[in-house]
Amino acid sequence: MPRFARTVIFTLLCFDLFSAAAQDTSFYAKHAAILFPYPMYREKWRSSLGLTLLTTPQDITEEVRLRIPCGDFRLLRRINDHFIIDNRVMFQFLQNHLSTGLHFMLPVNKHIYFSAGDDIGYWFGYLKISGFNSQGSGWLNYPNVALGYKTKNNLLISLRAQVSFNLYYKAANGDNKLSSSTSYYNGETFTIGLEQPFYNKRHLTLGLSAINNYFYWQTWSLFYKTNRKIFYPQITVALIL
Amino acid sequence: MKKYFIIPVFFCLFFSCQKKYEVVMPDTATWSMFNDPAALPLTPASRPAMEGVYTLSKGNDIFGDQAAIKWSHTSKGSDTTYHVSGFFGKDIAYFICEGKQLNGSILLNGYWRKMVSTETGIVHLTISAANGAALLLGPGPVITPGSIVIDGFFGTGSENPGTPITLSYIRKLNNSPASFQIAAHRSGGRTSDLLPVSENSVAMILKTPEFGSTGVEVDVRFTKDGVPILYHDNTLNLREVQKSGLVGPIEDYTYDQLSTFVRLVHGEKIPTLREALDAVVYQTQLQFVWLDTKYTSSIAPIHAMQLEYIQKAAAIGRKLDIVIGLPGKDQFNQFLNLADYKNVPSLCELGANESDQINAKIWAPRFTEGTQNELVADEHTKGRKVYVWTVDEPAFITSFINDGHFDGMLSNFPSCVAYNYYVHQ
Amino acid sequence: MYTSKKTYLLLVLLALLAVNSLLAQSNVKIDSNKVWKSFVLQVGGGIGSYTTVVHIKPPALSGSVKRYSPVGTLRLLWYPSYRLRMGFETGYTDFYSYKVKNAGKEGSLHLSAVPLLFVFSMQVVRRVNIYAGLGAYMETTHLVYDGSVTSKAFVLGTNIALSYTYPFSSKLSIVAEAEWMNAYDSKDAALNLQAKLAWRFLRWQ
Repeated sequence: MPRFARTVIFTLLCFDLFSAAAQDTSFYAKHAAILFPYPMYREKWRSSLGLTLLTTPQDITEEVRLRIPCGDFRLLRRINDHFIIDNRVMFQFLQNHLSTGLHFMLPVNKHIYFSAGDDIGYWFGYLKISGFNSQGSGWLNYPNVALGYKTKNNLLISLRAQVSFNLYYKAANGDNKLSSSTSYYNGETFTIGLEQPFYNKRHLTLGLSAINNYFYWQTWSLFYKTNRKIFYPQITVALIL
Repeated sequence: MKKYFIIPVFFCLFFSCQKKYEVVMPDTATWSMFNDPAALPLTPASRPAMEGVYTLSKGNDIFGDQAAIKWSHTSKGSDTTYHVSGFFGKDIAYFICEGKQLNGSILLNGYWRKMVSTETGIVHLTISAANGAALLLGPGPVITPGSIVIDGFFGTGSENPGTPITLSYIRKLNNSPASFQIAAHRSGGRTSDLLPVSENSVAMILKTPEFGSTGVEVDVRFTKDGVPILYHDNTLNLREVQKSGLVGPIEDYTYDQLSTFVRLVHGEKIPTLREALDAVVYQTQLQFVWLDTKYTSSIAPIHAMQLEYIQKAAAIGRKLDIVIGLPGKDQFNQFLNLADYKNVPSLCELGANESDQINAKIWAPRFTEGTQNELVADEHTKGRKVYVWTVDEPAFITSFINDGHFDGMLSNFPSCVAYNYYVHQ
Repeated sequence: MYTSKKTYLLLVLLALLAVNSLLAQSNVKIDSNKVWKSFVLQVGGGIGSYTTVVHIKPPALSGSVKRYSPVGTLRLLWYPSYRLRMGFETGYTDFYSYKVKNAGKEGSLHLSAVPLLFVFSMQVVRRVNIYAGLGAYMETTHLVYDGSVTSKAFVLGTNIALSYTYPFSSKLSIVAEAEWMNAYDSKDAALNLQAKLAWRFLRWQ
């Protein structure tokens, strides 16, 4: 199917999404969320704990396809009706990633919500076993926007688009060091999120991400920046605490 | 409604960013001058005389400021094919050409490629009589700085070459240490490097000298019926082979089943070790073969083949080292079961102590340990060589060659190793 | 058509559209939040069609590749209080089979798969459910040529399905389902149409 035709079909399908949304009966309720562009109304803090799992590109990482799941802790701090600070710790022992960012959030109407923000991330890793004597670290910047749709049955659907810029990285293998402070455009990530009540009073976050990057921090020990974007599908499952 | 445009825009942006990553090799048989029936092969003396370090005065924005030019050849019976390779310092770029002489000039026709991307194109180079061709084609050429100037053009993709490139000879290629081995991983590179032939294939063994390799590392496994073959992964998968319906460990299948049902990604059959060593000994001038034993059963059959081909190489006057590679403890313990293992040429990837225990010819540490100059010096006092693997980051290749004291380097980018070794001063 | 990551995202988007479009209908009654929790077992079978575009390339292929085959599924789901359900799915399918002829020797091959998937499910509207799963497929090569070989490999994969459930008692229902299986790493995908029996066998508040 030609690329243009696919793009047109997608555009029409997405029109359908929001045409359908326009017919919703009015419904207003508070909701509990982490990924959703407007995650909370009056609470000051919200947190979630979960796991992310991604697969690595087979042609590069070959038979090492699955990494161990990565722990994912998020902590939101609401500043006022329109601003929130989003903090995130992704931990995987050999490598870890911390990020924080300010997000502007806006309820467009009772069902549509919007946010835009910019996060700064820092990753670091150590590998000193089995012939490895390596360490690495770096800084990234993640501007992002998100759109959310709230159904009348507490189902929150989020669509998030994020780009990343690699600001700085350094790596060392034994006595050999490598570093670069040249920032470059690293790629983009698209995430679809579903959040809803799950069990008793617990709410569940499900996210499916399409990461398309030159460099991704979880594969730092296998290879540094590649000269083509690598596609990493990633799933996130988390419980809102 | 205007705000609803945002979502489709996100998805359209995402889909438009996806593109297939592939290298389309250009058709180089289009240079009419090179195809002239009057064009003759180069003289035997002109090829080694042309080798050297060159500086670029044009084309250096694309390829860098220096190049190392080296000839290689492969043979099939009485037919010998010569290729000249130019290795550049920028973006792991190289060119590979064939050469002819026409009306007193030397013509070089081929393609260039950057290994960091999919960029490739056609290159046409000329050495005119006044710019060194007369000297090269004459008897006993003596080359001095500036005596050879290579002029030409290169293009992108399949377009005709139109961008100028000029290289001028400045000095001889470095050859210190003289026995430094540029070993190509998986006989030349991986599937993901988008080379025109498959990893661990006879076709790759025949192509690898063009990339600057002086030796190869190959991965050895056994089929169900005990035939040693070249194959890296534990299982049949789409990274290495075309889809055929065969899945699971390669050791589950006989060689007849594999050769009937399975082809490597570029269409070659999975080669036997015998076919691979035949190619190395009788069709190339490669000096080193690293048999990386990916299986954990007896090493004896591989040792027998190692001895056989060392003798075959010696019989035809070929300088060739064949070592049994021991990547892990299981293979190490199997090696200890060989009678007289201390006299079997081996390469040990474990620690220096294990190398001492088996009297390994080569100790091979992973590059992630760094240059380890003190340990390397210690191994040298014991008469052991040290090869580092697998070094692919250009900055590390440069650093290891300039600051390290290794006797060889294994890389998926032998052209980058070749450049750094030959221009090193 | 083998489904690339683009088509995979398309299917996810379609699933979300199905949810949203149907929920947007003002005259549709949505089930109220469930206060009952339960387990549901679905067992059934049907027919599958191998859909990949990456051509199977055995060099000695004789005739054509057979792409249609029977399929069976077993799915165990936990229904917690609300809309989202999760569970486990397994089953059996033959992806494809073919014959070969080479130098006077004949042989045959078929590739089967057992899905081992962690599945999420949501009710879209009354009686219509959508499923999405991820996990692995245990693929098995059954080869007869110069002897016989049975060899297995675990391959990462996903699935997505849409079903209509018709209850005929408080515990038993009939399910009609369209499912798309994707063994991602080996580029094997199949579209299955199945009929199942669903049994709600535990219920508590």
